[in-house]
Amino acid sequence: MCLPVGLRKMGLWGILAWVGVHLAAGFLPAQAPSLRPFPPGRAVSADPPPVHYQHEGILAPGQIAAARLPRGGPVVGYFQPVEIKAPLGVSVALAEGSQFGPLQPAPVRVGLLIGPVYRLRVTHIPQHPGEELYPTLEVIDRLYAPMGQEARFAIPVQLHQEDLELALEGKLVTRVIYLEDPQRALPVSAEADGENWFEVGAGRDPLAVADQLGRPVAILRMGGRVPLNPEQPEPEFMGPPAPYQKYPARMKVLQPPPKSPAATKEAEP
Amino acid sequence: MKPVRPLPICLGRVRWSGLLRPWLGRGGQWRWALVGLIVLCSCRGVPQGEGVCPSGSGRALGPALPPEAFGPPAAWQTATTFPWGGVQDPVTGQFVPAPAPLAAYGPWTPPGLSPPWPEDEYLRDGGDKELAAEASADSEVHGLEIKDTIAHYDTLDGRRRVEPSNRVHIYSPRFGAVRQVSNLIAHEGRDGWANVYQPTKLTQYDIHRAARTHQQHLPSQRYVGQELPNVYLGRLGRDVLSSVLGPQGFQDRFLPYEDFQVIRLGQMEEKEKTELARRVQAAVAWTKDETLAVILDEQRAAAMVRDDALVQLYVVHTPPANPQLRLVKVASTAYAEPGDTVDFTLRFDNVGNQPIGNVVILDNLTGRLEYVPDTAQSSLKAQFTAEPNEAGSMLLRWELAQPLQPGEGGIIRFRCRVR
Repeated sequence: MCLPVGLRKMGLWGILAWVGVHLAAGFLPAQAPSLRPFPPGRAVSADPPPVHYQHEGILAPGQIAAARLPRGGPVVGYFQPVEIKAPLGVSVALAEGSQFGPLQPAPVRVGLLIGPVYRLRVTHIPQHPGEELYPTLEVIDRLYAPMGQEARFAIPVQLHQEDLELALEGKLVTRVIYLEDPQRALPVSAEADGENWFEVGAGRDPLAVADQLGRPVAILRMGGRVPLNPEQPEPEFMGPPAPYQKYPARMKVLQPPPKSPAATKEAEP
Repeated sequence: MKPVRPLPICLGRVRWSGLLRPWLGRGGQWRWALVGLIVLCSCRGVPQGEGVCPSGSGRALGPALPPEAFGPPAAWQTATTFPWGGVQDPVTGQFVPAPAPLAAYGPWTPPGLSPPWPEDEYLRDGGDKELAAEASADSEVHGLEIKDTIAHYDTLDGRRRVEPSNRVHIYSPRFGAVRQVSNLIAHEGRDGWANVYQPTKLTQYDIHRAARTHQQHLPSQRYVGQELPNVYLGRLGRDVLSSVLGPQGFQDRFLPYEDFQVIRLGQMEEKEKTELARRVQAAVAWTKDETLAVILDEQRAAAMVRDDALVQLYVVHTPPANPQLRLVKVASTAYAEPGDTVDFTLRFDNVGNQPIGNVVILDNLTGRLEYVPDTAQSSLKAQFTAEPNEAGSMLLRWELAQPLQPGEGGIIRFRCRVR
């Protein structure tokens, strides 16, 4: 046998003991590091334990949402209402089978399943006539709105003008939409067009940042590939067909300005 | 010289020396090595259903679910063709989504948890959660956290007590986004991790501790009887609610969401408890019957007759001092989007049998609620102040000018805009 000199001197029983000790040393801590109870009276840090994220926001579309389903809860088969907002004039269509459905002016309210990836078609982009984008939308969690209020409280997916232009320039724009944690909510009003958002650099994971700020519910990716023939896109580009529900567009009813109670009392006879 | 033979180990009719010879003799170490490797390799398997969190992140990508929610999926889910549930129509070949569970369309809550759930979709205001609020002698309040609503008052015996209101939950999720712009031209390499931390779930953990103290069970030396109230005396509200105007005047008309006897007259009715609890989603606040505080307001002589006495003994039960303030909070709506306005009403009543003074009502608004200026009202004369709090909102404070007599109460209203 061609063994190193050191191993020959150890003998086979020594080699076995050395291998066994190293395997046990590397195996036991990884198996159950948190099973050791703290001894009584020991001070425990209030900081949360370090979190390891097994997935990243730059993963291929569909991986994160598909992994959400086995976690339990009534998410399978539930159509989560989503409202796709865009600048004035933008039209949006969703993939229906192997082709895109009819174009609808934004905002568009649809019910999407948790798990599949929906391919969108965005046209009539302001200041970019004739250009189109094909972002993907992936719903990774649902809301638990009260009965009858599901469609009212839809997940807002905002297509900002800046994001559209960046995607047209060839950049890949990833937006992770999250439900804000009320305990960490900023005391500012949301923007007039929908949401407050943050920018993270290329070295950080947007999914991890969103998870620290709240509960990620959807991922929007823009700037990917385009079909060779937009009228008859190839099946690989469209992906597996996924059903969705159409909701009527919501009409924003403007309320009259609130009257101050003092003025109301003075107006009364 | 005779060769040394191993000692024969006999146990019954089996010669164990013959069985152990291949393992202890020449070449036996290779057998031990093979067995060890097989054992170690078999231990590397991750138990099914434990260890790896299949979500997109190490933390749960979703609200915190109890262990009961991670049960086996329904039968129709396992029989699906597509990963998100559904079957393929054998005739048309199109995808037919699986029927959604009924609970998906309702306010589903995990077993073992009470609504409202999940908490990150609701705005909570009112109550005194976590740290208990306390008021010092110099009217300084400690432990008043964001979203707390309390009132503190002084009693005749010199105590300063704190009474929290019930909690009001408003469904108002707010969303944010995290954007990352990547350049497809640049080359970005990612290194894989060498070791993956796999959290494991604790299956059972028992701690056996010896008893340090032992208490002897002693028999009771006396028996304290409990007398049920024999007369129920209800309290009638005042005919004119706003005899004295507050700082901004008071709107005499009741709002639609205030259509409760406890708000209008301060009387708690059984038939309204369900609707009131649904409105404010704080059934805990109404479960305790407070009729005892009402009946103690009256003295009543009862005849006590004994068989071994020749005379009748008349006794008068004097109720003990029980100063008590009740604070009820309701909201005009249960759902609100950012930008909507929500009206809050606070009904306070002295349900004790003693006057209480220096009544101060505090509402520490959360950062998601923005107080609309000049909307505070009070049916009783009160000094109102609003000052910024650490959450970026306002701390509202009403200090009643007059003491509250037993059975007396009032209403406070204010309006907030949801951020």
